Amino acid sequence: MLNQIRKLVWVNMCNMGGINVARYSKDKKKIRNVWLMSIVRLLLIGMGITYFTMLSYGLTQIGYAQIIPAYLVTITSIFILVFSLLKAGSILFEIHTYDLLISMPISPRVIVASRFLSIYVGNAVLSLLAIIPGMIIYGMDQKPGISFYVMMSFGVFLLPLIPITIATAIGAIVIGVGSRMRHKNLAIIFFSFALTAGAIAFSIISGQSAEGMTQNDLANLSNHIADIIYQIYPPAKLFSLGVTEQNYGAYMGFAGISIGIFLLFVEIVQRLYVTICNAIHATNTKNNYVMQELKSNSIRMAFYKKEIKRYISSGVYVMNTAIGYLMLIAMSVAICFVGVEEVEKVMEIPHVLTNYLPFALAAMCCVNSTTGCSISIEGKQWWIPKTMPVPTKVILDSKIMVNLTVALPAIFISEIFVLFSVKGDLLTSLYLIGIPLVYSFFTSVLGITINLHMPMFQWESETTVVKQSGASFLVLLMNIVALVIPVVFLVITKNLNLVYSMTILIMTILTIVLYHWNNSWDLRKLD
Amino acid sequence: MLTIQNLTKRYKGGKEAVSNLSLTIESGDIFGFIGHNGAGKTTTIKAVVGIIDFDEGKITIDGQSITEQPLQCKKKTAYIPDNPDLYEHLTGIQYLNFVGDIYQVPAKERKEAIKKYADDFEITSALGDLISSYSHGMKQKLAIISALIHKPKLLVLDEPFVGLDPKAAVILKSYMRQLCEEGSAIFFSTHVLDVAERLCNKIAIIKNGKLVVTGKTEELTHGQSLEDVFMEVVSHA
Repeated sequence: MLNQIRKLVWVNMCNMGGINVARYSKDKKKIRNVWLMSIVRLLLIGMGITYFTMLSYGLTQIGYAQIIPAYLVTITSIFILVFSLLKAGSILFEIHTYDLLISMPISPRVIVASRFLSIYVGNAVLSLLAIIPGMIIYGMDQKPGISFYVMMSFGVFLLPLIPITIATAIGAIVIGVGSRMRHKNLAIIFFSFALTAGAIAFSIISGQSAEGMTQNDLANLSNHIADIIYQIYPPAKLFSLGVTEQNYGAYMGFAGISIGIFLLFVEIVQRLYVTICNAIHATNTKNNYVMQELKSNSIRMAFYKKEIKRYISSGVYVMNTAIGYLMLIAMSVAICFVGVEEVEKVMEIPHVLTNYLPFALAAMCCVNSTTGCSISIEGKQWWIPKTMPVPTKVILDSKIMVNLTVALPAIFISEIFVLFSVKGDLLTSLYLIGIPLVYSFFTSVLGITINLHMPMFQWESETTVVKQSGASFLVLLMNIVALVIPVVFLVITKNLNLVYSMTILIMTILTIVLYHWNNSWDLRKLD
Repeated sequence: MLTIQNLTKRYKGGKEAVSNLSLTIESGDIFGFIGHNGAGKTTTIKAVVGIIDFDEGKITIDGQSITEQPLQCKKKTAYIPDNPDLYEHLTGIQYLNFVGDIYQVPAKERKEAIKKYADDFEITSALGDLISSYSHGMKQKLAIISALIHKPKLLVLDEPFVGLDPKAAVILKSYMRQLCEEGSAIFFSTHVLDVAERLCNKIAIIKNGKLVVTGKTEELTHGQSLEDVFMEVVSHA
C-alpha cells in the first residue's frame, strides 16, 4: 500500500510545476515557460521569506522572541488553511484520473492518501521556508540547545497536517453536500465563498482581540499574545512548549494529534470516497428535449455567452477570481459604516486607506483576473475557436468581457459606499473611481497577454490551470509591480494629483498597447 | 476546392511531421487520406483547418489562402476532429445554436437543419442535456450535426467513423455523398480501408509524412482490394 501511495504521489509531482515538461519536452517554448514559472514562484517565495524574517526580527527587537515558534506555527497554519480551502476538495475528488485509478487494483484509501499527500508536499515546502528564517532568528536570540533544532526540524513537516486535514475535510463536506443539490456548481461556489469569508473574518477578529488589552496586560504583553495564539490555534501551545521548553510530552502530543487527525480523516473519507465521487460526477439527464424556436445572436454575443457559461460552470474558477471583488465590496461597506480609521486598524497597516485609498481599491481588483487562465482553461476544446471564422480580437474580447462583467458591478457598488463616506472634491472622486477602473481594465488585458505567452492546454484538473499555472502567478506578480511603483512614487513625492493622474494616463496607454498587441496574435501558434 | 502545395510541417525539435506534401481535392470529391498511426494525417488536417501553422508550402480553400485569408477559408469549411472535445458546460442545443450564431445561419433555417439531422442521428431528446453527460458516440454525432448545419463547401473529417454506431455511420456516409452531389468537397482520414474503398472517389496514402501515392480509387486498386494496395505501397515505400 505504501509503495502505491508513493508511486501515485510521484506521478502527481511529475505534473506539478511542469517538472516532466522541463525534463522531457523538446519544445523550447514550453521549457522556457516552466523556467519562467519557477522564477515567478521563487520571487513569491522570496517575498514570503522576507515577510516571516521581518516578522521574527521585529518580535526579537521588542523583546518577544520567546513567542516566535508559536506565532509562526499559527500564522503558517492559518495561511495553509485559507489557501488549501479553495483547492483541497477539487484535488481530492478530481475526476479525470479517478476513473483511471478506480479501475485499477488500487484501494480508495490509497487514492485518498496519495491525493492528500500531494497537497501536503507543496505546503510542507512552504512551511519549511516560512519557519526556517524565524527559527534562525529565534536561535540567535535565545540560544536554545540542539534539541530545539531537532524538534523544530521534524515539527515543520508535521505542521501542515492539521490545517490541510481541516481544509480538506471542509472541502469534502462542501463538495459532498453541494453534489446532492440540483445546482451543484452554484451550491459549491456559495459554500466555498461563505467558508473563505468566514476563515478570513476569523483571522481578522482573532487579530483584533489584541486590540482590547488593558494597561495591566501591557506589563505581561508577550504572555498575553501567547494566550491569544493558543486560543486561536491550541496545537501551537503543544508545539511551542515542546520546542522551547523541551517538553517531550507536549511535542509528542502535537505529533500524535497531527498524524492521528490525518489517519482518521483518510479512514473516514476512503469509506465514502466512491459514493461522493459518483455523486459529484453524476450527470443529470432528462432526455426529453423537444425542438423549440432558436434565438440567434451576433458573433460577439455568442462568444460572450459561451465564455460566461464556461466561467460559472467552474467553482474553482469563480472562487479564485471573484474573491478580490468580494473583498473590495466588503472593504467599501466597512469604510462606509465603521470609518476609514477602524478599517485601517483591522488591516494593521497605518494610514493605508487615508493616503492610498484609490490604490487600495485597485489592489482588490488585481487580486486575480479571470483572463490570466482564460485561454488555458479552453484545454482540449481550444480547436473550436481556432477553426471558426472569427477574428482573434472577438475571441479575446469575449474573455476580457467576462472579467469586466465580474469587475465593473463590484467597482460600481463599492464606489457608491466609498464616495458616500469619503468627503472630497470632484478630483478626489474622479481618482477614487478612475484608478480602480484603469487597473481593472489593465489586469483584464494583461491576463490575456500573459496567457498568450504561457498557455497550458494539457491539464487534468481546473485547479492546475486556475491556481497553479505560471500565467496565473505571473499576472499576480505583474499586478503587484504595477501597484507598487506608483505607491513608491507617491511616498517619495507626496504629490497626490501628479501620481494619480500619471498613473491613470500610463496605465491607460499600457492597456491600449497590450490590447492591440494581443489582437495581432496568430492563434495557430498556440498549441 | 482544396489545394495543398508542398506542405512541410516541422515539430519543435526539428522532426518533419509532414514533408513536401501536395494534394488537390476538387468539388464533388470524397477524398480519403490513409496512413498508419503517426504518418502525418492529423497534422495535415489540422494545418488545413487552421489549427496549426506550417513551415513551408501553401494551402488554399476555394482559391483563398488559409494563412492570408483565414476567416474567408473557415467560413467555407467544417471540421470534425477524431476526438470530439466539445464545450461540456453547454447543452447540445446551446452548442449547436452557438455554432449557428458563429456561421450566421438564419434562425429558422438553423432550427430546421438541427431538427432534421438530430432526428436522423436520434439525439433530439438529448439536446437539452449537458454535453458532459453525452457518450463518445453522442458527442461525435453532435460534432457532425454542428458541421453540417452551415452547409460547408469543404468538410474535413479526422477518423469520422470511430465511435459511431453502425446506423449513424450509414447516415453519415449518406450525408457525405449528398454534400458532394451538391458540389461540396470532403477530405477525410480513416483507418477503415473498406469504407474508404467504397466511399471515396479519390485516395491518398501517406507514410512518414510523405505522400506515397494518390489518385482515383479505381485506378489505384485495379481490381485489387484497397487493403492489398495499401500493404504493398507502404511496405515498398
